[in-house]
Amino acid sequence: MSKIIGIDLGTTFSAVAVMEAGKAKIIPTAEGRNIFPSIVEPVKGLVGDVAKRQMVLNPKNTIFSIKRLMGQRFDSENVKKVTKHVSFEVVKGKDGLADVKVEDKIYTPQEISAKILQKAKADAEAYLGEKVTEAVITVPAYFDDSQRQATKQAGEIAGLDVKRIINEPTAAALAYGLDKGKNEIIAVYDLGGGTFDVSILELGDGVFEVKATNGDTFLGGDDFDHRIMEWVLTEFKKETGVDLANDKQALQRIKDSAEKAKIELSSATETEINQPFITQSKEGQPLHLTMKLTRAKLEELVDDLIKKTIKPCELALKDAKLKKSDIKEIILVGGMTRMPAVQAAVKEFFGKEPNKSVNPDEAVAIGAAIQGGVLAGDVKDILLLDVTPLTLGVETMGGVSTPLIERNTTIPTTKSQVFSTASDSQPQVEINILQGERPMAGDNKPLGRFVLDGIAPAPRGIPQIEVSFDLDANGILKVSAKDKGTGKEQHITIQNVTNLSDEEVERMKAEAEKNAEEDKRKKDFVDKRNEAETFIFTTRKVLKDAGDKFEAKAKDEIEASLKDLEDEVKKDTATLDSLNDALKKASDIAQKHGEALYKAASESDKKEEPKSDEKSEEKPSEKSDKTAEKPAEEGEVVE
Amino acid sequence: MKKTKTPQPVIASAVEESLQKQLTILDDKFKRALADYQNLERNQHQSKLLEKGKIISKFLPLLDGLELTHQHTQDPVTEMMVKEFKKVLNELGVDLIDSQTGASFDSLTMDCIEVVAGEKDKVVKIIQPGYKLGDVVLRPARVEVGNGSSVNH
Repeated sequence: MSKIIGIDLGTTFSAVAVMEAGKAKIIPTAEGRNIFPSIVEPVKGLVGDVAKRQMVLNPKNTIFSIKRLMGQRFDSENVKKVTKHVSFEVVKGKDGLADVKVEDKIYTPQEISAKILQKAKADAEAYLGEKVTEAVITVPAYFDDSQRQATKQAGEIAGLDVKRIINEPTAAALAYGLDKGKNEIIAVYDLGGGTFDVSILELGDGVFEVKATNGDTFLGGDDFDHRIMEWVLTEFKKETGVDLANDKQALQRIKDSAEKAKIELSSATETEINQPFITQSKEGQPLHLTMKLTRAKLEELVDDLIKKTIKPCELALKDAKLKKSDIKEIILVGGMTRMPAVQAAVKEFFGKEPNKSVNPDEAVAIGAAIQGGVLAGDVKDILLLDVTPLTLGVETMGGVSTPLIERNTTIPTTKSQVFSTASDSQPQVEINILQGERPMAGDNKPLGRFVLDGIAPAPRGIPQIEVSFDLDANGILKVSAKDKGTGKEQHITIQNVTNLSDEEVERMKAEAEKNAEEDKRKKDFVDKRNEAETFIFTTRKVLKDAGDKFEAKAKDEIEASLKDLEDEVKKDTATLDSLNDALKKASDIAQKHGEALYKAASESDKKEEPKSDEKSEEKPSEKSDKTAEKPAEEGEVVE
Repeated sequence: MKKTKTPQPVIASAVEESLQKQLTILDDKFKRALADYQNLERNQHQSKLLEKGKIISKFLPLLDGLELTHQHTQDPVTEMMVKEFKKVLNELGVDLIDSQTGASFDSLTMDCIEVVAGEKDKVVKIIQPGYKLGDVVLRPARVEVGNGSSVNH
């Protein structure tokens, strides 16, 4: 039952994901990042950020963009282009293929890629706490057979059984959930760190056919960063006359700022680049870098880069012999597609809003993990846990709907809460089961009701009635109520609780939203009324139990105030404010006399101690009891 | 009714077989779910640490700015603020990465931004201090590293 991991083996960055609890999840690297640079120092065995950090020190030994050499002939145009861009040595190896040479040792691109895959494997093992031996690895759609073969070999060298090599756009489509049986044509627009790819795919019955691909193998986020850096350097020179182009330290800080500004401008329309003490003027005065960069300016700086992606889109469509209108969905992959101008360009070209619901850096690895899950068998009949679309609850004192299972709770689930009675010697409670988001019971959908009777006579609030909701994976709700005192139990089973049409759920949610204000008023009113009733009840109880401790006058005064409050509660015209006023009046009077009582008690020695103790307990409960409900005191979740 | 009695054992065993199969599948699913949950729990500690690190990292450039200001102005108030800032970092469990001049370059904790004349593979100058939270490198120390001779570069 070991897992098959999905690996996005990228040109500039790689990522790993795995199916966990039925969902594909990115595995963080040992360094705590979701992606890592595809950079390798083979002599010391460094991979990722660790290799990148010593690149300047060790340029000849640090291999990057190895994917560009995978399965390529040394004499090919591609390899010649790559050789110009890299600081390490590319040599002609076995069968005329391109290899790299580091400190007199020859490494095949497979061996270098294997180091990247090994890190992916190690990170996954650390995360999963178990051995990982199987993987799905992605490759660009345009990879030919020998390049795919080389990728597979890289996996094997890394100790991975490569269960499948899949196309990056296919993986992205899987991540976007576009494999659900629909026959449609989609475009995958992938603008990553160093390469741009566009693919046209035809989906049908779980089969993905690549109709056409195109792209630019030397275009990506790095080019965008450079544009910003160049602009900063030029502006700074204009302002101060100082050229920072050869100041490595300053350049590093400007690079940080450029990346940050680029990211910020995906959400903000303006950002500031601030680097204090970046250098000194000719007179030795410290100079600071402070610049404003607007989104509009950034878009101007990179406009031609974005335009460069459109031509390949046209060509891909042409190759696929399709019109723009044939494309049903455009999905975005690669960090650069977060840039609003890129999204706008895609939208303008295809005439349709692109789908950007999946994290573009992670989509390919996520898709590979899903494919891995399918192969491992944990996706085929994937245990898609449902959530309950609407809140389930019971009616409590004053017609309030008290939720037990909140909306969007993953099922199966069990929740229980202890309620009590609303009046003395109440012989039975009625459990009215409700569905919906409205705070008042009457506005929600009644699902069923039953009565639990035979409750032993007891003062209000004493009996403990445990109400349990058990909602199983099939949406069958079993509600039971148990009197903890007598052990008596009743239950009801309601079918298809989760089986609501989308329209119905939407309608009920919309209604709740629409009426939110009015509902809140109603609920507040009922809460206040409940609070008042509870207050009347508890205060009368105190008067009855400890009446002899009060002076007759005080007793009368309290009783009169309670009567007023009671009248107010019963009045049809009562409002939240009028109830509040009446309650405040009554409770002030009660408190005043209560206070006097304690004073008298403490003065008249400790004889009365037990009694006053009882009262001191009573007092706070008056206050905190405001949510007392029928058939309940405030519930205590006992689950 | 009576006639159905004969095929019944066959049905029963078929039913039993299918139930057995279902049981195996369910058992497997249950174990997977349990394993996933345990993994989640185990990784929660680490992911919390990483989240904390991400937040702290956002404040580090502010400290850089203060430190630079102090270096250039020797202003005592700024020095005080630098001290206070570092104290807070310390309380949060953040440690300065040891990248003193003369230390061996280690790409696990350091980032070489320039190679200069100086002792080979040793830190010649710290450009920007690095920090770690436990074992997690929040930011590597940016350093200049010596190359033995100044001829190569």
